Amino acid sequence: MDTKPPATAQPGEDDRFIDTLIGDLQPIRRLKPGQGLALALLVAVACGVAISAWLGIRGDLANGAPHAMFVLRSAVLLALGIGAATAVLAAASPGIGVRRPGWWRWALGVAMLFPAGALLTWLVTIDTAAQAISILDPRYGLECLRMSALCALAVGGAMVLWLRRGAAVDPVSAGWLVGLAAGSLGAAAYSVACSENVVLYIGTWYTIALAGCTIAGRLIVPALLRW
Amino acid sequence: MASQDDTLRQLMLAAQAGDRQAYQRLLRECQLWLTRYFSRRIPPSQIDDLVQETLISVHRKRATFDGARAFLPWLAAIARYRWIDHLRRVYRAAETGLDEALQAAPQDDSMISCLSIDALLLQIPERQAEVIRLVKIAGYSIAEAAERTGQSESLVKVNIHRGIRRMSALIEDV
Repeated sequence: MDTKPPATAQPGEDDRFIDTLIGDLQPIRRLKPGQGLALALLVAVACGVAISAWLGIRGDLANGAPHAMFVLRSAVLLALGIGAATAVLAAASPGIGVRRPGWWRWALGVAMLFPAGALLTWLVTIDTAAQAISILDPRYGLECLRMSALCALAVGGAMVLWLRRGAAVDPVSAGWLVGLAAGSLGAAAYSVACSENVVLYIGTWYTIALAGCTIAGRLIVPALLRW
Repeated sequence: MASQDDTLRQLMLAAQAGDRQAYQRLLRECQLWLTRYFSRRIPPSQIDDLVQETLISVHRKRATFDGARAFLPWLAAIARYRWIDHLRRVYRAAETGLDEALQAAPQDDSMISCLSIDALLLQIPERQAEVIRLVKIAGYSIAEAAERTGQSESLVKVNIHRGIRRMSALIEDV
């Protein structure tokens, strides 16, 4: 390491202030986004296990032959959750001009196929409100919302606790992304118990869950991340 | 010859490991850099306080520095965050009227700080600056700003968004 004294440094009345900071110096471990992501995934897995124990695993998954729609739904939710979490956790280490992982936008684009598919189903195949209600099954749908939100709360809480150790310089963006990541991972955790495979159902209830969590993240998280 | 950034990066890595001598050198360099950085943005009498606040942030958040990256962009991000926070506090005090000193001496440093934002507003299109002044500074609603400027409500929102983005870009470029 270059050990020559800095040419510009000069002693002054701020010496005592700097000495105070130096006196407080302790070796520290660097904050690594991978640890934050591991924590978020661990909490999501714990939520999945708890949901499985509480509500039971969906039949096809328990039999080792998951339905293609379940695989697709879980893959999209996990990709979106991991993508958004990676982006926001990387932002805990600030830097002007630093490029952040942005592939979550692609995952979001793919995830948008579900509400688009639901909308198309509405327009093409649903003729009556009774038919829509029958497919949407509001009682089960609200349960889906509640459970997803509960899991998202646990995942989001863990992410916020980790992020508070960091230095997010754009708390508003961080809030959106925490909400999106927590909502996606929370919904993925609940997904192991959700037996629905219909696009209209998934595109409606899961979209509401994700949108609600994202908006909640925007409203709640920024105040918790200011430093 | 090692660049200044590389030297600072090495000093920070040593400081993260607990090297007090390296940390002292680093803080002094940061102090000088921050003094230059803030001297173009806030009144001279506020610089020392803001430099100290930022050094405290550097100290508290030193674990967030990634040794694989350059140091100065990290420091600049922290400095900008503290600066914006400072401007927000100044405006809040000015808007709520709680700052008696500000009311007693309207040409004091706090007002000069406001001029920093005014300077930024002068560098963006007038239609954007106009709605930012009305909504974000004077506290008018979107509807009121639309009525006063003759812009539609959606255009007011778009102009505020674009104006703030341009101002952020200008801040980063400084």
